[in-house]
Amino acid sequence: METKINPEKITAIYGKSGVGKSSVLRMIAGLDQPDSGLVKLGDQLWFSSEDRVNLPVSERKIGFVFQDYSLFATMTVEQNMQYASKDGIIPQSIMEMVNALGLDGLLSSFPDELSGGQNQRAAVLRSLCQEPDVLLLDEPFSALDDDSIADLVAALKMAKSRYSTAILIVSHRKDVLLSMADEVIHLKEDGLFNQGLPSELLVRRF
Amino acid sequence: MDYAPFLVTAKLALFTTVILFVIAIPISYFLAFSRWRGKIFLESLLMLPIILPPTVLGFYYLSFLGPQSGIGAFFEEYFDLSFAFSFEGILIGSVIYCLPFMISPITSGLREIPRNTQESIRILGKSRSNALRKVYLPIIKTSLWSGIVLTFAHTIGEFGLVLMIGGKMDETNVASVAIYDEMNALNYDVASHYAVIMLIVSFILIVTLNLILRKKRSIPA
Repeated sequence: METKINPEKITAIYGKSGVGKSSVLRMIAGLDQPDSGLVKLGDQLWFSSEDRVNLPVSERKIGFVFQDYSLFATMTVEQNMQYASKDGIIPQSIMEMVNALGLDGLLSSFPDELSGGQNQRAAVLRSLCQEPDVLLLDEPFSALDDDSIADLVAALKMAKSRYSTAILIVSHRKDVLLSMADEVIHLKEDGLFNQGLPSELLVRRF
Repeated sequence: MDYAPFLVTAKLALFTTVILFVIAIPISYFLAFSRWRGKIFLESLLMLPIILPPTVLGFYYLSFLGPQSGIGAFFEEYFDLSFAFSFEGILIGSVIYCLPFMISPITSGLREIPRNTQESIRILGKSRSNALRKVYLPIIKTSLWSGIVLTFAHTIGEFGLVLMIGGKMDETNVASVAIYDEMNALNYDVASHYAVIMLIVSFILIVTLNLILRKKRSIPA
């Protein structure tokens, strides 16, 4: 697989279960190591089997939102965000986004007091506190109802409009990707893939 | 009735628990997260006191640290420190004997930390010590309490090892040994008093442990 992702856009990796969507995301993050190949962000080499380069996860400046969210259960939402922030101070711009999304009332709540959708939005905000170059989301909609998905999509669009962070989402939810992704990489079972507009790749033509 | 054996018992249990709590955390962290292949042998060695007869442990303890051993004789001569027939001796023996009771719940707790949580730590770029203090230890709080209560309770019930290492000195005369001595001296009333107190304390500790474990089971996955 050889592709480039436009940092100005929300890019989605779409495909059936088991085609390796999450593996691609994990290899970009550095959580898994590819057998061979190249991962670059701009001019920065993150992984190269040829040059024997493998930049540690912590140096890749990424944010990662897992499928079953990963807020730390013993910390409140605010403490989670502080923990992810540099020097423990949540950036003002993130606090503005918290208020804009109406999540300010949840700052003192613990993850088990939140709904799935609130957890996911809080996880996105925590990731943004790291001021990442790339925000990676692994099946963020899979456990959410339609209303929660709409809220999360709104949060991601707001994040994209406010920050220069590239957003890469893995999902099998075609309907959601159609409403939010600027570009789609359609992974297939034979290892091949197509890249293009969601309207071109995700709408079935008869 | 002389309550001194209970003071010695409480002191031994408290010191053993505090020492083990401090040393068990880094050991458990290593056992839980290290990829070293020989780890299973180290873990087995540390868990050995669970099945080893206390007399076997006492025999090897005295062989290596007793007054007749090279190490024991060295410390006695140059530091005036005796590892046998002294409170320090039963404390060291107790720490070795109770090691699995502190390590096992803490290691299990650390192993149950979800992979996502561990990977989030990596992504956030936190150091191991920072992650341990701020995230892992708060998550495994109930496992820590289990280790503390188990260790304390087990130390209170020690008999064979303390008798072998401590002998019959005032400073090593713990409650379980005192009951044995009073029985041998046919002082059944005193032995009965001691036994009732031990029974009540042990029951309270077991109830406490079960309350902790029930709380742990009620935590949502």
